[in-house]
Amino acid sequence: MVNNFREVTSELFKLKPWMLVGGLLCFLFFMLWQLYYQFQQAEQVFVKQTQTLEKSFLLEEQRTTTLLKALAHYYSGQIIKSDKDFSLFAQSLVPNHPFIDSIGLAKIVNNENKSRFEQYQKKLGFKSFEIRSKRLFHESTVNLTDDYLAITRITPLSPKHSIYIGEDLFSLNTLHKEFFALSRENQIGLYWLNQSYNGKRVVLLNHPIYRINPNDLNAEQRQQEIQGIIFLLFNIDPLLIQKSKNVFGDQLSRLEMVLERNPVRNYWNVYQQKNGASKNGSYFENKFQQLIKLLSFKGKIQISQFRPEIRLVINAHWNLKSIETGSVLLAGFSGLMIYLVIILLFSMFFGHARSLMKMQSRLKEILHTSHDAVIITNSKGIIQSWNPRAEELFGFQREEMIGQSLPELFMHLSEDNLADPVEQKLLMLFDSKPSREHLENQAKLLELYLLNRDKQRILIEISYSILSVEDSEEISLFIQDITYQRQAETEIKHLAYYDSLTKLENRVLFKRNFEKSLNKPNPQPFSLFFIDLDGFKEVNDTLGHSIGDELLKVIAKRITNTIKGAHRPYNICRFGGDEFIIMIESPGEKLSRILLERLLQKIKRTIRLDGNELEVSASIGVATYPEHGQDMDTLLRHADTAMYEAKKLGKNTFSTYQNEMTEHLSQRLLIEKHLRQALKNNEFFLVYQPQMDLASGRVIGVEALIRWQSPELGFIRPDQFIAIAEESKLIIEIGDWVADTCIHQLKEWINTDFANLHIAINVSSVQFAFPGFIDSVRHKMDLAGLPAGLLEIELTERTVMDNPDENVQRFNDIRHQGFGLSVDDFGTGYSSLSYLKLFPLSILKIDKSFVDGLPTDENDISIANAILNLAHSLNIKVVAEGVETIEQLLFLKHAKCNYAQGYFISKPLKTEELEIWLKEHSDSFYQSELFLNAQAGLDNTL
Amino acid sequence: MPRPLIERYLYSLLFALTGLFCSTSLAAEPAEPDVKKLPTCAYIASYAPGYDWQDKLEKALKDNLQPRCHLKTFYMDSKRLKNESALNKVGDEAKAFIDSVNPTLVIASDDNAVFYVLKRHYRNSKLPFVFCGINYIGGDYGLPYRNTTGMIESSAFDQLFHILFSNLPSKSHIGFLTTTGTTANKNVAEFHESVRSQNLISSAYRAHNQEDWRKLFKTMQQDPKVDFIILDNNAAFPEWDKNFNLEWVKQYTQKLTASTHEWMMPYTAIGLTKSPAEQGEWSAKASIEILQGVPIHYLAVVPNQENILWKNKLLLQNIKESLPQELLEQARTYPFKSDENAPSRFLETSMEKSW
Repeated sequence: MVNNFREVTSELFKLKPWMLVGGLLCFLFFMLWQLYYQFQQAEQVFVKQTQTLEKSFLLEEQRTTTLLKALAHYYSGQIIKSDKDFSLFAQSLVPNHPFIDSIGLAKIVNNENKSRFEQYQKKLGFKSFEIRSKRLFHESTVNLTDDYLAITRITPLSPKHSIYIGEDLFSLNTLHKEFFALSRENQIGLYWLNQSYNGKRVVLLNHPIYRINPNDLNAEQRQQEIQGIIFLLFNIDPLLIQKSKNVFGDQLSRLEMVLERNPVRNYWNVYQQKNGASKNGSYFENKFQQLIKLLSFKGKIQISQFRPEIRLVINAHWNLKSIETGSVLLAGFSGLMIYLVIILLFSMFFGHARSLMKMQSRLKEILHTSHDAVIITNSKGIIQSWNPRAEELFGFQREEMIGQSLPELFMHLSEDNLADPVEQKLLMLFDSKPSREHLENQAKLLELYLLNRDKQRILIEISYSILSVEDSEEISLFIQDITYQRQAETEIKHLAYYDSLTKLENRVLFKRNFEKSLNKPNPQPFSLFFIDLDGFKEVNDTLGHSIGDELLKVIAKRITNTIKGAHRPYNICRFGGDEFIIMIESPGEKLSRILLERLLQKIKRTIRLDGNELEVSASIGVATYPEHGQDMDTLLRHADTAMYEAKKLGKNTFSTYQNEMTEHLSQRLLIEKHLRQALKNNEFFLVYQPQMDLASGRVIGVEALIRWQSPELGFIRPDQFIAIAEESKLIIEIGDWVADTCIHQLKEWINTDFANLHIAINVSSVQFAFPGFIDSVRHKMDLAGLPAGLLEIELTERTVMDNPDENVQRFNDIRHQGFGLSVDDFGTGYSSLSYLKLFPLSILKIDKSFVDGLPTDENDISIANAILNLAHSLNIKVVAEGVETIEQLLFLKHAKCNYAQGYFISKPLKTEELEIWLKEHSDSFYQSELFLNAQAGLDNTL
Repeated sequence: MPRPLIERYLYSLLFALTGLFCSTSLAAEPAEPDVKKLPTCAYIASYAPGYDWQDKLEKALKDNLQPRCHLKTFYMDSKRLKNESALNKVGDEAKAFIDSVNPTLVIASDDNAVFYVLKRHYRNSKLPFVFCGINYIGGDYGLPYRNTTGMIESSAFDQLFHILFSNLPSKSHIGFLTTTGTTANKNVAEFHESVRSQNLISSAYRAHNQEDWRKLFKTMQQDPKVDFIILDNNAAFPEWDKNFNLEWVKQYTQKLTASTHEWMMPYTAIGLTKSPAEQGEWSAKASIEILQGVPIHYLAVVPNQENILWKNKLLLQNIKESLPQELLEQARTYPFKSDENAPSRFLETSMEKSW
């Protein structure tokens, strides 16, 4: 909802043109509405003002008529009328009434005494007095009667007003007509007149005057006693304008008088404000003002009680200054805010509706494309929705399922195992509300087997949700077919915990089981058998990995079968390439031995694979819990140590861990540690053991033997560190050092008596396998200017036979470059005679073990002879090692052995000692004191 | 074209442009009020400046008219002229003056201007005339003409007699002391007209000089038949010894004396005077109406309206039978100037009854 609101608001605030236009229109509408409201208020004020004005006019008229009546009363009340006194009296009134133009006195004169009257007036000083109509008013006509109403006095008497002197008011037709009627009633007459000579409008108010007080007279008598009139000339326009302006101020735009009862309605313009906008304002301001002025008010009021047919039409424009700009703007902004709120609400509504539609569409799509079967029911389990996946899963179409009971369907599809708690739980969903509430607190994932329409068993996982919709509840079931998932999970689990090749446990499972055993409350003693196959690498290298794999499968099966026979709890793990570990409840020492021997035996049995007859053995290290360790790592390490011990014991055997083995291993690690520093510290040195030509007794060369004198460890034998150096690949550096030292020595011997001696150097299999080794030695020899024949490469029989096909080529290279090539320890390994004949060997060296029994041990004699015969047949010379007695020497000489070396001839000597020894035996060993003494001793024995 | 000729043309063009610029610049300046556009009014004064009546009348005339009219004045100074021919001559000069200024209208103040200029030269002519200061009763000018209007001096005698006799009803005889000359003649005629209209008993005396005037004054004060004495204008005596006469009047005043001329108030106990300013103002306003287009025959000839009741406290204290105090309280006290109360030499003069 919050996101939806944000979406809507963000959508809203993305301004769009229609929004701006709408906002502007709303702003303007409310502004105009407020203006209209203010206009109406102003109109009401205007109406009140017109009423006030009307009252004001009527009051003014009343005041004026009162004044007129008072004057008339004053005049008529005088016994001796004095026009002059009246004039003086009236003169004082005029200044107090600014709109009274003048006050006058007119007398009725008939034709008979007209002349006399005129003369009288002249005598009074009005020398030009003459009764006549000067047509001072547009309303003046010709008086054809014998009566005149002559103005005799006018106040103030100024030249401007003097024009009225002598004017015959009976020339005003209306006045004349009404005069006598009004005289009879002593009533005021009122006449609107237009002055002809200046266009001004005046109102003539007249009141009759009588010779005696009219109040004492009846109408007839008043008619008899009528003397004339007192009249007022009223400047009506200034009055109307000023009073209107007082009320309306600048708002007043026009005043008109209309005579409504005239046959033709007569309009008189009284006032019109000069139109046109201010010159100071801008064009638009002026236009705006003109526009506002169109908003004007119009009222019509009565201004005279005597002439109600005369009405004043007032036009007033709306005063801009009265506009409350703040309110207008406030209304505009309020409108804008309302607009924004409405837009926001609409946007929210439509946004929400759109969102719901989208949601509905999505849900529909989700239901349609869901990988889960989605079934929605009411609280009774009547199906309301059934998606395609449900059709697919159960085989029932939507049309046939809508309205059906889902519990009944489940009962129908179950394997009639209604006692199944999971199924019971599922049915409870459709039971009652309390049941459902009870389920609310439980896990909502149910897993059970059902049958589909085709009666196929499927494992399904059901999750459900209960949704309250208004007063009812809807139950949604999400059903997933997990048949294949469970199978895959089992496979994955198997892959994760079992070796795919041998189907044995892998390290992970083994470790878990191992720890499980250890973590038991009272763990039983058990044994670990660490099995490493002997010769598996060779099989792999020679016959390929596929054969190797098949071999491992066979071995695994044999191990399993063998262990099974022990009837003890066990775990078998393929630990590495050709390593297996067996954890077995301690069978006891005897049974353990039997079991181990049976294992060795079973493993060693020939295996036929793809036409190959293979035979591998195993070295087994044994460690027992808790005797040899309390944890897996210790036990494994100790079993591994024991396995190495078995390897050292010659393989195809087993060895039980002993603490000394650890010590030995520690010693080995110590040697390895110091070995790395030995070269840098120049701790190695070479000794040379002479090789003698048995036929001549002359020394033909020496075998270089390495020695290590460690400052910390003391003297270390080669058999103690060579293997370690090979395993750690330090042998390559050591071998280089040996070669360099020998070449240096050969170079030293050039041009000496020892220049023809060759030096045989032992080359480790690791060093030999290192590419470029021979080329490097050759390069060094060339640099030293030495012939290659002075250096003999000694390889062990195992090295030579390690990779015979490849080695043939390399041996040829060695030989072609001139180096000698000898095989050390010949007879200890298993040389293939077929390969031996292919190898371009120059020398075979009979191992000391075969020499030791000579000349008494028949086997050794046979072997020695066989080797000699073989070598000679292949044109290979033979060196007998370890010749320690004269008997051995003589036997070998007799057996046509080519060369011999051994302590009998000389122990290995340092360079200086060797050179002394060589000098001493420069002719022949047989001439040496040693040989001669030995021969003498032999002779004596014989 | 030769080079000098080209230069000449160029210079001519430059001057022409400069001249054009100057003329347009001048034309663009705001025009000052053009007195020539005002209509010209000719004012023909019967008297000359220095005469109180004339000065006040002329001042009121100018104050009201001059903003609307360019007024050109001709003073006839007729009091200086002793014979008819001189007056006719100055009347001709005035006409010549009027012809020379060619006025829209003419204002003529007092009798000599009306008689020797208007009546003689412009009666019923097309040139409008506004007259004032005319003692109508005393004159025979045939006014009004078709081209005239104006204000006449109404007789104050009626009102004055009314005041005197209504407040002192036991009195019946009224004396009138005047001088010589046109105005005096008209005043006498007016006096007699009023006396006749009110059916009063009267005696009129004409003094030919100031000594004569003093004698007559003394005689009238001492004549038991005369109840009141009206003193007319003394303008006919240019040699008037003001201080001496004041002392004289003060010494011999025992009856109620009155005048219709303001400047005679130092010599009388009460006065009911006409206003020269009213005459001048009316003339000005009537002229304005005419200038505004009101036909001259629309404008009525009217009598003056303003009369002022004065009292001279100095002389009133000498009079036994005076007016009621209530009436005198309504009268204005004459404001004596500093030299009017100064003692002067008493002159004994003879009095002569004129007729």
